[in-house]
Amino acid sequence: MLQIRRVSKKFDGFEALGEIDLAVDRGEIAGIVGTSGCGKSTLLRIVGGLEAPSSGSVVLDGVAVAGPRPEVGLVFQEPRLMPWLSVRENVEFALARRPRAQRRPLADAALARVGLGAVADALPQALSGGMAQRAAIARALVARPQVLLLDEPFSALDAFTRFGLQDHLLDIWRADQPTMLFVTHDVEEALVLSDRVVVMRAKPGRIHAQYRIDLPRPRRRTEGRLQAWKERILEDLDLAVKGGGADPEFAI
Amino acid sequence: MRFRARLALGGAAGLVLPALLLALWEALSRFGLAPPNLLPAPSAVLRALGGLWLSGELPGHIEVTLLRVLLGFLFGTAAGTLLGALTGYSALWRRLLDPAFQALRSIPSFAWIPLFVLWLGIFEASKLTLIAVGAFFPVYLNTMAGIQQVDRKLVEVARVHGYGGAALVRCVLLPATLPAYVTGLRGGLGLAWMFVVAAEFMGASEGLGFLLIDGQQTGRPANIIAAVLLFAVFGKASDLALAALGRRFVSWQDNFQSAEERKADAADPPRLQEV
Repeated sequence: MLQIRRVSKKFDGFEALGEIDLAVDRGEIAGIVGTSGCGKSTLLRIVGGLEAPSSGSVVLDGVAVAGPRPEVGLVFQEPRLMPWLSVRENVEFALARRPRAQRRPLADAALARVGLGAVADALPQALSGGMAQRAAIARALVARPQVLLLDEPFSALDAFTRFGLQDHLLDIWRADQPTMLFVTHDVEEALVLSDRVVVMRAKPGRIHAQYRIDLPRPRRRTEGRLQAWKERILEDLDLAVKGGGADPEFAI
Repeated sequence: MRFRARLALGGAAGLVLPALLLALWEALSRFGLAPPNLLPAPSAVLRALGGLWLSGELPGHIEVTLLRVLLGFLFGTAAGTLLGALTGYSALWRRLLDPAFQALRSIPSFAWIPLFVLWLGIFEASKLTLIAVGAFFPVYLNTMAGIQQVDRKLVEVARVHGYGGAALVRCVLLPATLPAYVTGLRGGLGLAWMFVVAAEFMGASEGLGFLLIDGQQTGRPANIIAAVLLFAVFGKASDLALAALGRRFVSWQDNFQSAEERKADAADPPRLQEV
């Protein structure tokens, strides 16, 4: 179980996060939505050990997180592949702790799972945006982390690629059952993927509401209940349609 | 067909102008329009080259100059690499050292010559020091800038996967810095060739620079032009060798840049500091 206990974060006196309490069960998918500046990415970076909280702690199976650790995989908004390494070597990059002989077969298996087996020897610049992000997912998954953190992983992709990768991520989750905590500003994405949607609001960043989404998967984007939740969440974020268009950040 | 023709022309296009000039030059000399005591014909320059080679004089000059360039370049590169790495990696060292180096850089390097001769004598030490100073700055600046410009996001990915210290340097900082470093090396080598001429002007009895001065003092313009041509040939050849060596390590960068350029369609290429 992943526990976020009274975590707060200040940057030079600016309160980015108030006190956040959140527990994510093993194998659960939790999606965090919120407007820009609500601290959702900061929270994810703290859980990943990339930033230290100003107060509070993150505890994974009873052990406090004090820095990046192999049980926690991270996928960023950009693929962040090393441009001088082949796609396979980029995945092997995450296996530095393993004996050299194990790395290649593990990397090839991870690439095959995201459908990139054929481009293992290519350099990252040869990949499309969606393929590069799949390679990044393979790199995050190859060491079989118990927790997968994703920071707006699909926001830079076009809608068709995004839908495809969302399905892909669910396939991976069904096979490995990692705990997943992901940040998005696409409410529909959160609803399609998550067991629970956490709504955050800013000044300071705090959890405003949580919704348990108990619909069976795969979920249809046009499903009525899903649309009702979406309306509620947009209201939570003051983004419901009031005689005009929604905030352009939420182009859904 | 058209594509092939363009490809062939692309390779040869650069030779058209020099060939035309050479033909014009030879014609002017043949018809007596250029005074041979000032501008000898290309054929006369070739004869001078052959004569110098056969007399056994030329190989000695070439060897001395090559050795000076090589040693000066190596010393300058060693210092530039070390100090550039230090100032690139550590903000504290950068604040301590870089302002002083930037100030030194703005001194025209030939202004050092009298001081170097006074301190180190007229022989090899002062010459090598001057060449090393020339090679130092491009290497230093590009190493420092290369390390500073490493994408912090990639460093973060490395940290996520448990890389730190030496592993971080070896697996991320070094490969990410290499393209800038190779640019620095090529700039440094170019300046080493420039400075070897200055060094050999300040009192040398051997070397291609000496051949230039000697040609002027003894009124043999063919020797001067021959030496100039040799500088061009060796300068270009050593740069090509260094570029080929660099390409083996940074081929991803060439591809990366051309791919980016295709995307940006004639946007400015990333600028590295060149001197």
